[in-house]
Amino acid sequence: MIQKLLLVRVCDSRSGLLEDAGIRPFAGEPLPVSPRAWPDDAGLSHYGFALNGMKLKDWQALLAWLDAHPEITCLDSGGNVDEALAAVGLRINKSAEE
Amino acid sequence: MPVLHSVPSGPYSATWNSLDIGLFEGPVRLQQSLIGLPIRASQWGQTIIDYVMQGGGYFGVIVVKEWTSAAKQFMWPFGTAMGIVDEPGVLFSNYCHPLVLTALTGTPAATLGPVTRTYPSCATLPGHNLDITCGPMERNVVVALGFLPEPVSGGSRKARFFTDT
Repeated sequence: MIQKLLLVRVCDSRSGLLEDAGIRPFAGEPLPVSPRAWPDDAGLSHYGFALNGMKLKDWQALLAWLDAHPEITCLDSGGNVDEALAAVGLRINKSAEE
Repeated sequence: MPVLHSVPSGPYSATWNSLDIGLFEGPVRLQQSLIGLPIRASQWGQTIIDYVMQGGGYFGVIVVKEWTSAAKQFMWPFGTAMGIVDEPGVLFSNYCHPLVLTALTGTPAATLGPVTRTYPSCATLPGHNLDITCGPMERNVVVALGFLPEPVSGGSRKARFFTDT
């Protein structure tokens, strides 16, 4: 099962991004993400999108799209978003979820 | 007010093995280079006519200002006592841990990126002399770092040394 986490910096986010990347059917709701080193009130650095249900051809198409958009990061999540974020110094900003 | 540039300035904090290394002197310097074997042919003398690429190397320099347990663990992988080296034969990778750099919130670096840079495998570079001052001044220790890669994906021969977000 292909499970990924897409990270888009706040300054790079725009409407239609998921459609352009061809991943709208696989993406969950945007997750509020901040660096672990930032306090909660420092705001968000990224929006995260957990991607589930992609088949190999979908993943290969996304890889090609990511090559043209190096400002966007895609991580292996293994279904555990918190661990995937922690591995790159990030976390869900729970105060932004409220 | 609009500006005419996108300069990504801003300090970075760092954790190594999830430990906060503390304050730095100056910027973190991150280095990378290509490794290539030069190709020459007698018809061209000593002119290098191409290279056979053989990967690359990634290194860094951080000047640590603080003398905490975390800083000492970062500088000397054999233990915070710093007066001991381990038995010979252990691999460098055994002493490596993730280094995570995070841009300070509110800076251009935090907007333009990288917001975080994660090297999964980092330790003090073998052969580098730690120069530790003991005297009536700051104890700023220059630490040269070596980074080890991980495969980009299973079976790939591409090596990833860090991930930016």
